[in-house]
Amino acid sequence: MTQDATTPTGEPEIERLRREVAEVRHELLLSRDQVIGSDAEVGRVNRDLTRLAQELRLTTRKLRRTTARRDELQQRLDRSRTRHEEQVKRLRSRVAQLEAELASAQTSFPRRVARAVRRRLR
Amino acid sequence: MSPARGGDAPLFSIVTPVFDPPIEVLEETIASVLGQEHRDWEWILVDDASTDPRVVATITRHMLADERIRLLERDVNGHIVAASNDGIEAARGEFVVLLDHDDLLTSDALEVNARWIADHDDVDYLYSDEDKVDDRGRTYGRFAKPDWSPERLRGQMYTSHLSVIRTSVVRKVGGFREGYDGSQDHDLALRVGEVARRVVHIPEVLYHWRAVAGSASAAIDAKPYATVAGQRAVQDHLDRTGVAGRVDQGAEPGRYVIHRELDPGIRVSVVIPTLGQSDIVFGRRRVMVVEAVRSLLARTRHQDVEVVVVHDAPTPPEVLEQLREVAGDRLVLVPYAKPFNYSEKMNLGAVAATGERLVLLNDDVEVISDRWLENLVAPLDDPRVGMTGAKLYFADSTVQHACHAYWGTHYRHPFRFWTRDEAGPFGELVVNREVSGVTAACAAMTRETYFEVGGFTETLPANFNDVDLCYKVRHVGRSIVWVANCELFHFESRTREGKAEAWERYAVVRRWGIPEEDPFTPSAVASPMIDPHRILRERIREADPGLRAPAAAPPP
Repeated sequence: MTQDATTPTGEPEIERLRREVAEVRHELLLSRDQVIGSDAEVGRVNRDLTRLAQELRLTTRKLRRTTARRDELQQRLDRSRTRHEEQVKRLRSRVAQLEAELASAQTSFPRRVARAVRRRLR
Repeated sequence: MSPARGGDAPLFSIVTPVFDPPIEVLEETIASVLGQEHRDWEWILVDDASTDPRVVATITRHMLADERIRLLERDVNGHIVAASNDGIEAARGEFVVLLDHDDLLTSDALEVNARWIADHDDVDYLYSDEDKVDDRGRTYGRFAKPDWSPERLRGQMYTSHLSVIRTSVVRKVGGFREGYDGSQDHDLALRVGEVARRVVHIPEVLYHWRAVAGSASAAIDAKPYATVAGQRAVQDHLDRTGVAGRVDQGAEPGRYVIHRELDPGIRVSVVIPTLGQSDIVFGRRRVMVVEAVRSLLARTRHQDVEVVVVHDAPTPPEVLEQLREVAGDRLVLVPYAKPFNYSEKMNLGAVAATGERLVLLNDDVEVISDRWLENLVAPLDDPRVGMTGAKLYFADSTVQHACHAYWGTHYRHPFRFWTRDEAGPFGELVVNREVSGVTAACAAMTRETYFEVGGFTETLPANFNDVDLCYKVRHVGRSIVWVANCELFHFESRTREGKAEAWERYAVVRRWGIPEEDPFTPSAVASPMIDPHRILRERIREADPGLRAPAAAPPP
C-alpha cells in the first residue's frame, strides 16, 4: 500500500486542509529563499562596496600624490622655461653686441684701396 | 592583518623534545630558531637521554650564547610524550610552539603567528601550511591546508605543523597523553579542538618538515603503532563528544574511517525527482528511478525511511507501479504537471516529506556502499552541520563528485576522474571533510535547515541550484560535510541533457560572488597543475566579455 499525496482520502475537508498546508509551506520556502537571496546580495554588494571604497581610497591617494608630483614638475618646467627664455634673450643681445663690435672692428673698403695704392707707390 | 604590536606581542615557548638527532641537522634547526624575526621567544629543548654526548654539548654551547635557550635533561628516555610534557610544564610563554628536533621554521614563522594573534585575541589554536625538506635542503610537497575542519581532523591529523597552542589550553586538556606515542599530536589536536574558543588556519608555509628515513614525514607506515594509537585517539574523541560511531583504519596509514550510527527513532525522507526514464546501464536496460530506490533501501539498515518520489506527469504508470512494489508503504508519490523545474520539484517533495532528515537524491544513481544512509545522515546530529554530501562515481568508477570548490571565476568539481582506489593529494578522497559545497545529486539536510534556508531557489530550474543551496546553508552559519564512505554511482545526465547557461551562473554570482580562494579545498590542492595564465585570461574575459584576452603562449 502506498500513500499517494493527491489521492482523495475520503475525508475531503482534511485533504483540502492538507493541500493548503502544503501550499503555505511551499510559499514559505519561496519567501525564505527570497529573503536569504536578497540578504546575500546585499552582503555581496556591501563587500564589493568595501573593496571599491578601499580601491578608491588607494586610487585617490595615488591621484593626490601624482597630482602633487605633476604640479611640482610643472613648476620646475615653468622655472626652466623662464630661465631658458632669459638665457635666449641674453644670448641674443650678446650676439647683437658682438656683431656690432665685429662690424666696427672690420676695415672699410676705401681704406683698404688707399692702403694698397700707397704700397705700390713706395 | 595588523602588524604584531611590540608591547603586546606574546611570548612564544618553543618546545622541542630531542633524542639523538644528527648534529648537523640539529644545528640547522637551531639556526632556524635563532633566525626568527620575532624576538619574544624562549626555547625549551628537552634532551630525552640522548646517547650521543655531542647533542647536549651542542645545545649547551648555544644556550650559553643565547639566554632564551633552555635545556632540560631527562635522566631516562621517556619518549616523545614525556619529553614534550616536561617542556610544556616548564613553558613560561603565552603560547606553546611545537617543533621537532630535525625540522625547520621559516624566519617569519613566529612573526606571522604573532600578527594573527594580535588580530584574534580569543584564538587558542593556530596552525599553518607546511612542506617537506629533503637532505639537500630542497623544499617540496606543500600541503595547502583547509580552514578549521573538525570533521576532517577525525579522519586525519591534518593540522600537524606548525601548531601553536595557548599554553593554558594545553595544560587544561592535560598536555600529551601517555599511550598515544606516534599519534600524540593528533590526540592533543582533537582534545584542544574540543575546547578551543577559536582555531585559526594561517594559509602560509611556516614549517619545513624534514623527510629523512625513519621520520614521520617520510613514512608514517614506518611506525605502524602510530596508526593504532591514532585510531584509539579518534575513538576516544567520538566517545567524549557523544558521536555514536566506530573508527576503523582508512585506505592508507594515518587515515581513519568513521562508521556512524543513526538514531533508529529518526525518520529519513529521501526525495527523488523523476520522469520515469529508462536507459542502458552496464549493458542492461533499467528504469533509473526504480533501481535507485531499490539500491537505496537495500544498502541501509535504517528502518524508518520514507521515499518521496516527485514525478512529472508523463511518467509511465508502470514505473509508478514498480516503485510501489519496491518501496511498499514507504512510498509517497507527488505528481508534478508543470514545465521542468528541478528546484520546484524538490521543494514540493520536501513539503510532502514527513521525516526530520531529508535526503536529496537524483533518480540516475545507484547506491554502492553499505550503511550509506547512516553515514550520510548521522553527521547532521551535530547542530553545527547543515548539510552532507556523498562520493559519486561515473559508470567507469572514476570520481564524478568529491565536493564543490568555489574559487577564481568558477564553481568547480575538483578531483574528477580520479579512480576509486586513489586517496587524493592529501587524503581528500578518503576522509570526511568540511567543504564549500556538495552536489544535490546526493545530499542530506535536516528538515529544519532546509526550511530555514528556503530550500532550492526556484529561479534556477536546472543548474547551479545546488551551489546556491550550499551558499545558503553556510550563510546561516552551518557547515557542509562531504562523506567519503557514502558511495554511489551517478549515471550523470542519462536522464536529462546537461547544459549550463551563462545566466544561471550569473544568478548565483550576483547573489554570492566567487571568492578568490576556496577555504576548504584550496586551488593548490584542487587543481595543482592549473596554469595561472589561464586563470588570468578567464578573469579578463569575466571582467569584459568583449575584450580580447591575450592568447596562450605557444608551447616551448
